[in-house]
Amino acid sequence: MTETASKEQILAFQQKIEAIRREVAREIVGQKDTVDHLLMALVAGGNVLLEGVPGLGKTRLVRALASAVSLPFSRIQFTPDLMPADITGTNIVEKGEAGNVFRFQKGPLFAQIVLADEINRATPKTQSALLEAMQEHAVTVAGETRQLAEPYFVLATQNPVEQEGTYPLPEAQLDRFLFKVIVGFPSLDELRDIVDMTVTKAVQSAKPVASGEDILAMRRVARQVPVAKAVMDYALRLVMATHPELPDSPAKVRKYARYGASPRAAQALISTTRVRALMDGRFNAAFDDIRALAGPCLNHRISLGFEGVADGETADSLIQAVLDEVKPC
Amino acid sequence: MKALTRALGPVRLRVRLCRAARASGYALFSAAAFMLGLRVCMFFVPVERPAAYLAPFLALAALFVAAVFLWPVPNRRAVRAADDCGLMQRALTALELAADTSPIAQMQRADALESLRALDAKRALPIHMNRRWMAAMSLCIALSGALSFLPNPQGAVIAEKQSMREELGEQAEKIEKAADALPASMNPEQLAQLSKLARELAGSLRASESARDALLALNEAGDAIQRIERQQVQSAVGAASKALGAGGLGELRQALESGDANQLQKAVENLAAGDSGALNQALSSAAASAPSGSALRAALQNAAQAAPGAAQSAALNQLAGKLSATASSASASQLSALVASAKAQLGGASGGKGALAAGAGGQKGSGSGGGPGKGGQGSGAGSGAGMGTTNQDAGYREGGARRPGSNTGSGAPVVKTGAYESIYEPTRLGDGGEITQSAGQVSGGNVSRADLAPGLGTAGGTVPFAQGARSYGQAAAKAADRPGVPEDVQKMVNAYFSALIDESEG
Repeated sequence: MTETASKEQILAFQQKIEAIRREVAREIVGQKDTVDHLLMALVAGGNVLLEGVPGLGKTRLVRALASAVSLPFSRIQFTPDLMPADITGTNIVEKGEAGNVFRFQKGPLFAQIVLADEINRATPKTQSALLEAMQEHAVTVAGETRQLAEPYFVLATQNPVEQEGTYPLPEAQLDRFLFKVIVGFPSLDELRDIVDMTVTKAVQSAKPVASGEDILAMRRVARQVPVAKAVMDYALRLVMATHPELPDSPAKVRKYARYGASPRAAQALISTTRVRALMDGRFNAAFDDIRALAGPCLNHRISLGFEGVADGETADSLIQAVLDEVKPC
Repeated sequence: MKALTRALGPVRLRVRLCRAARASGYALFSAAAFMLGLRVCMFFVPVERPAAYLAPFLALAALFVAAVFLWPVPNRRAVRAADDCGLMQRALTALELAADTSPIAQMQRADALESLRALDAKRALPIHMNRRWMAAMSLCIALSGALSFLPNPQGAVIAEKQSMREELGEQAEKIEKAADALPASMNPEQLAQLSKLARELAGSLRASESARDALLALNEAGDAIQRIERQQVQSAVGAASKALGAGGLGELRQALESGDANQLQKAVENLAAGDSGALNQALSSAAASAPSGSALRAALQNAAQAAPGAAQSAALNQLAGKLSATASSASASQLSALVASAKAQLGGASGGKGALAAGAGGQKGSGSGGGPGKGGQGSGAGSGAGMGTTNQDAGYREGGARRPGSNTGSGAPVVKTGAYESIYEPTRLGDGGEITQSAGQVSGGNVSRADLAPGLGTAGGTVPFAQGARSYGQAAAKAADRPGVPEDVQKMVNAYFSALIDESEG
């Protein structure tokens, strides 16, 4: 049974969010949407796939977030020779008074905010080692399963340009990510501020303003945000409309999509919608929340067919077609 | 829930107004389209009062708009409208969470109510008409306006109808005045009947939509008046006959009852040739039995008191005139004449065209006789009741003998046209109207015959003096025998016409 959030907890939610935003903004210039998406995923209990060219401050952003929420942070640079044990940890032999004993050496996955940098450079074997941690929040080594501390938040990055020698993430793994956030290039003013802040002045670090407990409390509050039937229905119809096999789907989807979003996409849409509403100062989900989050929730869950790729279509263009055609009722 | 419903009040009103504005657009366009359609129809059908058609349509449209405005706005519709004004589904969620008492639901409701109260419904839900409908309406109105400038061929028809209606109104007024002027000396029952008849006729004339209706009403009224006149004549003849019988004037009584003026004149001459003393006594007895105060009594007394010789002869002639007038006159004759005049006027007003044709065609044939119809194969005896139509009563035909024809038939009517003269004297011209007889079908022997009412003569029509003199004399005696005409004038008129008759009969 879900614990009912008190009014104080509900009011504290917005204060905490504002405080985290403020602290992250000390290190990160602009990228407001990206920061908000990360916060939404953190509160909703999902993982995020960040996609963007190198040098946009992805790692710094995650670091800043980890600092603000004062959670243990680890960064794993994925490379082709990275082995699963390198990230999960392994049993090592230790000499003790009673003789040699195996002691489990925790890997970087045992942090609470894990940054899997350039995840598509690791082999599928190593990538799949991340699956259990992402989905089950547990790590199994040598037949022994170890629970990871909550809140647990995995952020993976991938570079959209250097595709040679990479291992694209399988659909099953992509589906584990709540959001896929495209990190865009900063504007001229933002770039000036970035240069000014990092080159001229001393960089200010984000200070911890929230704890893991706070994040868990915020998660409980977010789960209780009411979603009207019409809003819920709209989210579900959007997800359904991404399926090319359904006759009611937009013509573009039927023509170019290979398969549509899974039910996990609907869950992601609703859970993040609730968080967005609270972050926006409302106590209810709205159609606008659904529309705003449809992109990050669905774009990595829709697979384009050959014809779509050949015609230069993208998942985002299909989502736009879905949003244009499916209206709230 | 109540608080939410209250807070939704302004939004609900706004939704109603917006809905009504939309409905007004439809209604105005429909009305404009109807007006345009009506305007087009008016080029093919004479429409005298287009407003009479447009007004109910506009009333219906207004009713539709009112119904749309008053139709209840459900809560769900109101909250959707409010949410569409930027409330981000606050109202909808609050409505769904009405029964939820959790802290977040309470905060959500409070937030929704606060947002609803802060909502400026007038600004958020502006009332505007659908431009497309308004443009269509404007186009319809412009086209209607343009059509109104085009010459409408139905205008002449409408003007003619209006003229006819005015004519009918005048005739109705005349008939009402005549009804008011009916002599009080009449039998009260007959007076009441005539008065009622006249007022009903006036009403029918005013309500008539066409000349045909008016003529039918006039025909019916004419028949009824004639019936009453006959009753009146019978009553007068009965009283006179009784008086003459009481005086032992049997021959005179028989002549009176026969209704033949010649026989009456002959009987008077026989009386004059007899013993004057006995005649005076018989006339005195008859005068005593005649209804007191009546003209007949005065004439009888006058004849009884006249000195034998020329004076007595003149008095007897006057008596013959009185008796003849009694046999033919009626107090309702003025009304009857007015009805006939109205028929003639109506014929004139309608220009002798289709309207009159329809009216005259409605008359029943009433010929009698046993001869074969002209060209007809049938030879059955009896009274015909053929339904014929004619464009016009051709009036008196010189020497026009009544054609023997009696077959009942339904042959095609003969359509005749002619010009009317503006004079009127039905008793002078024609004896029963022209009888139109047409050949029927070979197998059925059907012959159509229409016996028309006395009509007007053609401009070139003449009446032989010998045929007209007696009827002139009778008409003059009848005209002179009216209340208010001095007795010496009556005598002078009677003497003048007696002399004329004597001269004509050689």
